Amino acid sequence: MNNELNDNQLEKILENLAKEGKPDQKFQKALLKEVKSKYKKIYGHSSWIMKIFRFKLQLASSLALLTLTSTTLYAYNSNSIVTGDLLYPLKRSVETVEGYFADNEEEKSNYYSKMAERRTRELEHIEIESESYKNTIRETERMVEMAKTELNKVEKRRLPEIKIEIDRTPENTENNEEKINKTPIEKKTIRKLPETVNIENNNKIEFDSNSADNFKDINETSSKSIELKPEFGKLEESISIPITPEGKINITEQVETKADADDETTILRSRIQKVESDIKRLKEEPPKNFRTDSKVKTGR
Amino acid sequence: MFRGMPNYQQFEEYYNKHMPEIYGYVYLRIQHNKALTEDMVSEIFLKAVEKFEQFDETKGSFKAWIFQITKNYLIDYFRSNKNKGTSSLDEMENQLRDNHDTQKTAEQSIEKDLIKEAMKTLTEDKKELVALRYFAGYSFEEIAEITKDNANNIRVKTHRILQELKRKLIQIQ
Repeated sequence: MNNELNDNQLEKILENLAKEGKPDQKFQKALLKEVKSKYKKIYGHSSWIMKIFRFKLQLASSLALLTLTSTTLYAYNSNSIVTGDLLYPLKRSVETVEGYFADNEEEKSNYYSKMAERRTRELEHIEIESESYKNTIRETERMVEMAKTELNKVEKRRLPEIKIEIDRTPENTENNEEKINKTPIEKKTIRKLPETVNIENNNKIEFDSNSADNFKDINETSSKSIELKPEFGKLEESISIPITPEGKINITEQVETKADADDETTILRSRIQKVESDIKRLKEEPPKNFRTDSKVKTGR
Repeated sequence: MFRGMPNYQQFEEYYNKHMPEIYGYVYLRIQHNKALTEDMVSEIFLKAVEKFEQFDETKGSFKAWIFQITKNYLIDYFRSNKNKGTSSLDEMENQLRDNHDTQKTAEQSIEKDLIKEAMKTLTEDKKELVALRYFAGYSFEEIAEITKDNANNIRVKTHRILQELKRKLIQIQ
């Protein structure tokens, strides 16, 4: 071999050598046959058959999904789907899911009102005085109560705020100086004045929550303070208002700020009231005859 | 997302295009044994059929994908042979005797044997580069894609390997 072999020559030799490393046609065809056989074994007998099969499968799945969606929508929107119907559980399931999305008092109240209205509409398709009819009325009432409870929570949050400044300093400071002259002035903010105040010895004092004057001149000497309890006064917390040695409570200032009425709350309240009145009317004066509508269900 | 069933026609196209390249590469890497190369290439392509569902054209070319399968296959092969007490170099001794060029001239045969002898002394990564460039017939750019390197680096490395081979040839003579 030439000692002065250049790069091109060497590359040529390598390329020639590489020609040995070319597969025989026979081997190439035999391997292709084997590959094809394995391919069919793994992925099916024919790719176009599989394509049709897959297309049909996709079509069937889409149709099933479409049917399910349409049925669900129909069941949800139809007032004539009532208790005892095949699709009623589907309807109620969708309603339950809808309820999961109500995450504050206002939305919950809205949801329960809506459910109450839906039950009321269902009543038109149920045989009057049947068990289903009574159950649906009970369910409607339950929804109304829940709607009211949630709405009350909303309204409570929006109640007028009343600030009361209680002056513990007795009117006659000279006579009572030793007892209470060091008592600091206490300021409390409460949501609403109580309608009833319990005094320690169980005496009850009625007063008008709009009039601060009723706090004055309470002739109760056996108690050192009036306890305003949350359950009576819808207070955020229990507060104690001391009574002066003369048996007086001094309220020096009363400021009331009214919260603006919320349109949505008002609408919600009126919706609940409407369902309430509808139910009340149906209970007091149920329709006298069975409906002739073919869709009316006999119930159980 | 479901990619769908692999297309056989596509696989056959890949096979026709890349099988000779893989064959050449394997042929050099296992020291010129035709029978063994055929067995190995068969196994590599049957393995590729099995895994073809996983092949994603958006992640790389078929060439790079099949080369990776081949490389992994050879690694397993060399590892298992090493455990058995043989190596690719041991085999080369045998392969050199397995010369099918009976019809070639004696001079050509000697040249090739000398080259084979010289290549025996190359490191595995250098042998791989020679296999890809001259036996699989890839361009520098294609080798760069397969080995995830820079085409210019590949060009320089190949040039150096050729110089090394030349020096070794002189030594052998």
